[in-house]
Amino acid sequence: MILIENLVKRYGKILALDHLNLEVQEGEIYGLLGPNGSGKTTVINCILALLKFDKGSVKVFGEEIRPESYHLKKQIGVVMQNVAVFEELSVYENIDYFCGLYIPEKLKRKKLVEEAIAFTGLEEYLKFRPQKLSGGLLRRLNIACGIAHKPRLIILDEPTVAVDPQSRNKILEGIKELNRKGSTIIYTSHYMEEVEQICTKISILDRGKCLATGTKEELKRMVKTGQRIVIDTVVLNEKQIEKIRTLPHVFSAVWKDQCLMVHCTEDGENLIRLLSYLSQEKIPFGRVFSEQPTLNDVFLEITGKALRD
Amino acid sequence: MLHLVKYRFLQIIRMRALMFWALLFPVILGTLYYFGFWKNANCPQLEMIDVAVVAEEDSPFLTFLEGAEDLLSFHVMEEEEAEKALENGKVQGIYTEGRERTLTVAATGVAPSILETILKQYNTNERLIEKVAVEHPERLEGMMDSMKAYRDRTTETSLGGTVRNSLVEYFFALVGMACMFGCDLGFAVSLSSNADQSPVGMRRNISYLSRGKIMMADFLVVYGIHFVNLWILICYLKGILRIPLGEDNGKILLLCMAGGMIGVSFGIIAGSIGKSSGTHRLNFLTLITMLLSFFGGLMVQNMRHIVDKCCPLLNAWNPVALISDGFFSMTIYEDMARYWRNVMMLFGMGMMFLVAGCIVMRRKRYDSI
Repeated sequence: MILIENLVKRYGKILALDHLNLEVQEGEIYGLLGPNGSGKTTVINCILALLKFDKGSVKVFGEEIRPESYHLKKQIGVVMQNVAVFEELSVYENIDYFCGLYIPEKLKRKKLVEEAIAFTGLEEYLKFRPQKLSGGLLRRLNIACGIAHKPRLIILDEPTVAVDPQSRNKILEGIKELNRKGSTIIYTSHYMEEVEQICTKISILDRGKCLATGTKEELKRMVKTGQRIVIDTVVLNEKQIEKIRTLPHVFSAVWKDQCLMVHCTEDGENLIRLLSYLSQEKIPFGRVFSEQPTLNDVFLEITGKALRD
Repeated sequence: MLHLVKYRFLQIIRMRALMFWALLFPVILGTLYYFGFWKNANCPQLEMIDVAVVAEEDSPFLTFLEGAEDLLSFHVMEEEEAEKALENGKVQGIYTEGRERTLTVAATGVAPSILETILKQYNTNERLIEKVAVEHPERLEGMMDSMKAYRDRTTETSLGGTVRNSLVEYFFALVGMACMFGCDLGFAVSLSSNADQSPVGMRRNISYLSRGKIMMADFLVVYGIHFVNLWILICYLKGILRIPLGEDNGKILLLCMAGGMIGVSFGIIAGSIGKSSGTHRLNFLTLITMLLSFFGGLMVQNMRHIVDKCCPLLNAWNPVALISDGFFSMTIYEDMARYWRNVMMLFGMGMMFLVAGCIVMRRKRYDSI
């Protein structure tokens, strides 16, 4: 559905996209994960033919997209990072206006607008002006304006920034629902939990480069960390830490502030082995956490820095 | 298209600050001008001058003074009584008839000058009548008639024959300024049409409808609103404040159309070029508008004429001066060739800005957003 090849974009001396390649298939929820400034929004703007780029090609629905490719734009819905609505129009008027930029037929548009309102749960706020809405409701209005015309491809650029957890979950559920109804989704975020929760395929971006692409399972398999074990309130000496580091599948053990963090490659026996060693040495300990690797671990291993650095 | 026009219209008229500057500010300024100088200049409140006259009751001089009753309040008195009244300040002068007609005043000033002028006029007329009666008695009647018609002929008239009050130029410049204030409307529309200026602009840029169509709808709405605003201002100035902006409403309408177009299109082009913040550019736009208004005569009555002498090129390209001159040509000179030249110039400049704005905005692909 979208094919980006060798895309290069410079802002003066800054290289925003560095020979980027991406392919989005129909029906996917494709996540672009990366820290602020990694090039996520620049990719989106290139897909929408808003930005000039220096090199490469961007094909949407099999065609090179240009500013005047209105037949392609008709099938695309965009939810911006910044709320893009008219302050002077009510909730209903805004949705109707932006839907009207795609759907000229009045009756058809009315039906679509009502569906978008129901989908985003804005029925009670139809006559409200945007400044009267809370942050979460405003984001929902932003989404309604972007998806009311039922596009084939929906691009959501960090739609949950500054949204409370309850509204965030509602928005994420809504996105999955849109995908179930047949829309392909491109979702950019620097919240790895969100991307992990909804995306079927993920690309990790940093400094304009695509560092890794795959499903979340594939990405996690790419890294060494299979399991992370954290043990609270434990007192160890250097010798004991060294011993833990030599346990099978353990490739890192750090003891800091009476907290032990052990990274292991994936194996079902890691936790049992570690706890057995502590019991055997009669070392008392507090709470024990065992976690599967997160996308943050993936990002950390690939780039050498945390996602929110 | 109707859909775009409807919502754009609602959106613009709900922008209170914008509507204040585009509509209310010129109306308020017009009202201040009216009460500040126009009303006083057109309704002079001259005080009656009290004067004592020492003369026989059947004196022709008294008949002459009766003709100046809107200026003088004369009281026939004995000489002593008159002197007392002058001393007490009850009268400002004494006309005394004897072998020679004299005027006695207690001080100098406007009132004594008027009294002196009136006396001089009477004496001149008297001598003239005596001379004509002796030398050309057959022409005496004609001369008396022409003397009666004297006041009518000395009314201030313009070159074209319309009654002129030069202060009306302030109102011409005010309409010019109001036309240019349309740039705020054009600027607002331009900001919400450019992807690098606002999120709404971004959303509109990636829609299915062509930019040309969206821009056309936007222009029609702001131009329509601005034209109605201008017409409300004209109706207020002409209908309520009774400012003589011209009798031909059709020509005023055309001048407003041309002026309104240049205002709106100037705002559109200003909003389309450059990448500095909207507030900075709006401030700059306001500065330009006020400068053009200043040179167009909004604050100094003769400014346009001064600029005409010092830098005629500025007047030729200043929309406010052109609009003001358009009114001037209509009402003062009654020079329609000049009026049409101004209108064509305004339409030409408006079209130039509009076309430039369209070229900049259409098919625009941004270097950065």
